[in-house]
Amino acid sequence: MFSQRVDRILKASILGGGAVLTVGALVLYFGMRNDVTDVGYRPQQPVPFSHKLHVGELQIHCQYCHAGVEVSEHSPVPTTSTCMGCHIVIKAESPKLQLVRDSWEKGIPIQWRRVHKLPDYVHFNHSRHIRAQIDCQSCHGNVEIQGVIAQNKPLSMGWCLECHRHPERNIVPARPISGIFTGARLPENFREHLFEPINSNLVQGVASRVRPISSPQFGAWETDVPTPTVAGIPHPKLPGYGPENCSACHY
Amino acid sequence: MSTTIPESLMHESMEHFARVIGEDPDQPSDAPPILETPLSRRSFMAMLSAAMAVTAAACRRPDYKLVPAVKNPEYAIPGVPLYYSTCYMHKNVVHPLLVRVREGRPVKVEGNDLHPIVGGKSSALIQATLFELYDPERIRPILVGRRPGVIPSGNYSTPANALAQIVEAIRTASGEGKHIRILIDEHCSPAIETLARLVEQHVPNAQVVVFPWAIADGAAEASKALLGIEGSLVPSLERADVIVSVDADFLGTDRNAVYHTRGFAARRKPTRSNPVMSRFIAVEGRYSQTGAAADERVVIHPRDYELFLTALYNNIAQAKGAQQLALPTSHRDAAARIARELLAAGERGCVVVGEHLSPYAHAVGIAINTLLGSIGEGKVFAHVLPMSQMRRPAVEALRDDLRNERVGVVLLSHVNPEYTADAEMRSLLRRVEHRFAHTLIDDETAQQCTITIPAAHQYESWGDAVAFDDSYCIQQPLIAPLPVNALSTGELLFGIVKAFAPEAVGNAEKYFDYFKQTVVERLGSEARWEELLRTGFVPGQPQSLLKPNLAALSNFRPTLDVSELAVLVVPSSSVYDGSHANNPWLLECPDPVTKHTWENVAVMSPQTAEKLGVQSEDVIRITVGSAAIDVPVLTQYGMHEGVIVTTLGFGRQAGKVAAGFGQNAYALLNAGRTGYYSAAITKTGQRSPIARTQKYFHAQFTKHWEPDAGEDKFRPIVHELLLTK
Repeated sequence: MFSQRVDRILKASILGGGAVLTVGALVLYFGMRNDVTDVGYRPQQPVPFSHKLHVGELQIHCQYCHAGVEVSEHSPVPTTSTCMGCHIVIKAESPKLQLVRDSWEKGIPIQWRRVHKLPDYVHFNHSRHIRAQIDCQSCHGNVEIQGVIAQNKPLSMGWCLECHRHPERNIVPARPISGIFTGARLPENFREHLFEPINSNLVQGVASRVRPISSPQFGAWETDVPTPTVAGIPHPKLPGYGPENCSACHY
Repeated sequence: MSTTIPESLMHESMEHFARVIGEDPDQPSDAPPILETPLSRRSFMAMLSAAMAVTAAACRRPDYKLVPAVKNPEYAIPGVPLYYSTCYMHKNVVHPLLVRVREGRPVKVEGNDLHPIVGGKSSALIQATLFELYDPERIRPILVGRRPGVIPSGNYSTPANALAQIVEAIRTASGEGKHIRILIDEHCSPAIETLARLVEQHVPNAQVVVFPWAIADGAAEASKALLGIEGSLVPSLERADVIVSVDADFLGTDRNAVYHTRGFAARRKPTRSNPVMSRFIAVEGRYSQTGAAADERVVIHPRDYELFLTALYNNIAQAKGAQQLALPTSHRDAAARIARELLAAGERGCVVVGEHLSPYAHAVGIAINTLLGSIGEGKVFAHVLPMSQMRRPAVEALRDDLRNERVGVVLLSHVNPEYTADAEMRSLLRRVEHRFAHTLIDDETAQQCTITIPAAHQYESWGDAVAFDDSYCIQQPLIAPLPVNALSTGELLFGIVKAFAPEAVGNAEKYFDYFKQTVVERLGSEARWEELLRTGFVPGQPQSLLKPNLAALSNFRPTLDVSELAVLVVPSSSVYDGSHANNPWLLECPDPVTKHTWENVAVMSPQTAEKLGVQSEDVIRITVGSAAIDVPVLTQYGMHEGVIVTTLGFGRQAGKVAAGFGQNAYALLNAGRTGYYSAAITKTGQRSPIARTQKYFHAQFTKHWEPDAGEDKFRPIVHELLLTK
């Protein structure tokens, strides 16, 4: 009924198909594993700096050190002068800060080890996300409970797109500690809620004028403050999804 | 238990291992060698495991560093650009600029929109200056002893050391009564001017000579006699109703082209408030970019320029009751017609004379403008270009000095006599004992010098400049000098003055201290210095033009005497006089009229080409006196028969980008003067393709393809045929 050739073709196709499936499975498995996407990457830094101490306990908000993140593509790494602004007085003798003092005195910059690194063919603009009132925690995790900073999210394309498509499921709304301008007027006791997303309970005093964004519900809060710009920074755009076109992220 | 490897196994070759089992190793085997490769099995395994290790290591994340500054520079946020106001001096014309700086690197240049001259505009040349800043060919170390010559022994590791050696050489030479000559390029910087005077005052036998790449002295000579101010007049074209240009390319290669283009364009768009456009008549023999914008072109031969101007003057003098010139005239009809238009415009009419024309042409131009009343405050001609004096006398004095072998040291800053100067000047300069160069790239002159100090780019150094409206512009550095050993011209002169008379520069330790001190003194207060850095300039008080003295016109006589075949040699529209030649951005920039790039060609009308028996891309030899260059022909409509135009700036021998493109047209010049020369043309029989960016006329003027059409017909863009045919 069938010629012998069919037998060969059948064998070849089974083998070939199997090979393709195996390679595909391997690529998928290794391509998506956390250790490949660097989740949990936590290099030892030259200075034993603790975000847990500075953010969690001392409640220094993110933009005190990462100043300029709201206007810049990058989140600037603090200069030695930022560290020395406090540590010239506080813990001025601590041996853990020897490198910082050396850097300050000799003018040699500190070489921090980079934790979050995107491929060269994509760009990520911090200021766009800050202006959309997406809290730092959405991508960087709970830095206030981490000692040495670690990579918290895979930073893969799938992860980016998931959030651009369904921000409401993924995004942590702005918290006071992040120093992100929300337009919401915070109550007197807002210091007790530094690490909580701003919600209508928190801003009871002005709740009548602050309401959560209807659709899609994420991050930002709308207020009746008709300010297109705040201190030169454009105020949050109309709520919406993140862009999905290629050139939004890829060069 | 110890293992002993049998003696028979202790061989290294693969061939041996293949045979040992059960065989006598000394007996030759019949079996073929397993692998005919120099790679042994062991090394193969080692390489395989190394490759796997490398592959595995590649999966591990590389260690990236984040290196913030120790102290953040003022206002700098990584990722956010900063804008600084500064200026760029192109010869003696200043371009006030606003430069975008990203993370300490200048990335984009634009005109300073606060400044009334440029109003936020710039030119191709100014845009391309950024390339010169980042040019990989810039000199890095101090180059010493590449040419035979006396080299002071000592340390040349830093610019301060090298400067000390140069100062020592100057001290010795001036002690022996020899002359010191510092050659600098044309500039408009009061700081450099002051330092040059200080050098002459405090260093015995020293003189700072402005040594231009190309010389055009006509305007300065004429205005010195007629206006008492030595310098060329700058027209404000937005004030003119009727503009007559005689071979002036004020929209093209003129150094003030940005200003002129703005002024001209402002009057070419009728608005409700100002419905009258200006009228522009171009009198020229070539086809310039400016001529292309004219309402009317009067195409005359260059040797008639002066005769035409005389006729124009006589017509206007007659109407104004002034004395006419008893000199030959030509094109009297055109002159009479243009004179009527000028007279109707009155003080809003002006005549602009090409910078390369003779003192007589410029004198007549000034006289016409005087009679029309267009010279004076608030008039078309209200400004004089700063530091646009005659250059020839100083250069000729230098030649005399060199001839008499009185010069012991030459210091050449941003000048390139090996490329621009005539043969005599070149050999005289090479004979000087101490030749020091100060230049951006290793150019022809630097290669003939004993010591070469890398020059700092204008975007890397402090300086100042004065514009023709007397506004004082600051040149503030945007980046530290990329070659660490680089010095600016100001720093060089400052170093020399400091070594001889520290009190003359206020005992300042660094150039910046001295510079800032002088600027603050000029401005009056520290607060105004801050303001100057912010805005980039402070407005000035323009020099008022004196009442012109028309009697001096009789001292001038027509001098332009060229043959029927005249070659015009002028700076290029892209690389200018060659000082920007090693810049691929500019070399790519096409000529605005002919669209040719990367070289200089002989532009002539098709009729001239036909008469000479050549066509486009045929290489011809242009001979002027004893000098000759071989350039390809490019035919261009609209030119007068017999006129050939070629440009300076090409034919460089130094610079990896510029070298070998085009021919050095400086060879044709008489003592560096641009302008018209009588030429002889010979065919070389060779052809050289010309790189052009656009061949527009191919569509319009191709020979007719229909068999019954005459030879003189051209193919129309739209074909019309009768249906009955």
